[in-house]
Amino acid sequence: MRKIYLLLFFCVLLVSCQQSTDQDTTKDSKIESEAEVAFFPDTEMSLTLKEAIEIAQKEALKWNKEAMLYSGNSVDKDDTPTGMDGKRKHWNIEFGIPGKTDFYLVTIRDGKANEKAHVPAGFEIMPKNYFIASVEEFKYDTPELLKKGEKITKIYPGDTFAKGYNFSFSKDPQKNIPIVNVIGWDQDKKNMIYLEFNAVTGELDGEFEKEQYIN
Amino acid sequence: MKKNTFISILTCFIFIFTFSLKTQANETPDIETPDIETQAATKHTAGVVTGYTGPRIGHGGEKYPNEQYMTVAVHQKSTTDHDPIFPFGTSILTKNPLPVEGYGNKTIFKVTDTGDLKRNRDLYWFDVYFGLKNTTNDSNANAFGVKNTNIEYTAY
Repeated sequence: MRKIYLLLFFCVLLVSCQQSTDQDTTKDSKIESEAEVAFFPDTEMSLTLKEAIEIAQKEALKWNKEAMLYSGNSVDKDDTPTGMDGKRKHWNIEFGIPGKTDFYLVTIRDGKANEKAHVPAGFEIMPKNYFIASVEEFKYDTPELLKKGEKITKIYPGDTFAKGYNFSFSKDPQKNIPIVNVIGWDQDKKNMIYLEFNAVTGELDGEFEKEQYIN
Repeated sequence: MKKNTFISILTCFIFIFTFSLKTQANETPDIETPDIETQAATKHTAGVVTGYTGPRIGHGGEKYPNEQYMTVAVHQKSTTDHDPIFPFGTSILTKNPLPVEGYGNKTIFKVTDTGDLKRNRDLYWFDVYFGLKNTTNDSNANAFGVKNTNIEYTAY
């Protein structure tokens, strides 16, 4: 009978020990994950326009070797204003094929290629000069263009709609150059400001405003 | 005695097994929803899709940031919260092409504007920019706005 009690006691002890170990492990993993968050701040996932294009282009070429860059932009999915260093975590980059109607979207979320979407009849048929062959055509990237914009114009980061600074690019088919837009606000946050840069020379090609919240 | 020992050992094993299962079941997964989930594309149906034209406001010569037949406006989160229901830069891809007056069939749109601040339209309504205000563009926008109902789309 004693043996049975001893055995029972041993079992209870074993279960208690196991539970205690489990709790410690959970605590340890919590500490580890907190440390990871501290070690890898959000900025680690932020990309310049050229970095985002490089990632997206690899994905587009897997889809079709003839894919060429058409346009793209940052997506303001962050909770707080970002982009003040010329980088964003979320981008949508669009591709097409000269002479064909295919549209291919590569989304970048948290600095990594995410979803893709193919629309077979998404574009009108366009010749090659409407597309950008590679990221090498961009001689200037968003961090330096933003600095330049802040230096020569009055542009400020947004606080609610289009928070921080946003960026986009497209091709000017007439001039045959890639264009980069730096998008911010005026000081009163009433007008959005678009700064249009020639991505080959880094020169400011245009500056225009758009009143927001009017309708 | 042997039988008793066997029964007690068996009881102990059942006891351990039961406790061990209970412990596992009580463990609440302490994992935050991965960011990728919240960043994923979402599907919606717009009760109505309309068209709008706009004056060239501000300055900047001939250039204007809204892109004809591409720019769309969506609702703000509320009358005081200017944050749009889809973030600035979101791509909208409709399930079926929309017949756009003055352009042709169109599937791809981009959120760079907000509108209908008083929320007269349904939540997932969107408004396609038809260009600067003139007779032709106004007429096209009006014709477009009366026929596009229950439009399914994905927001990326």
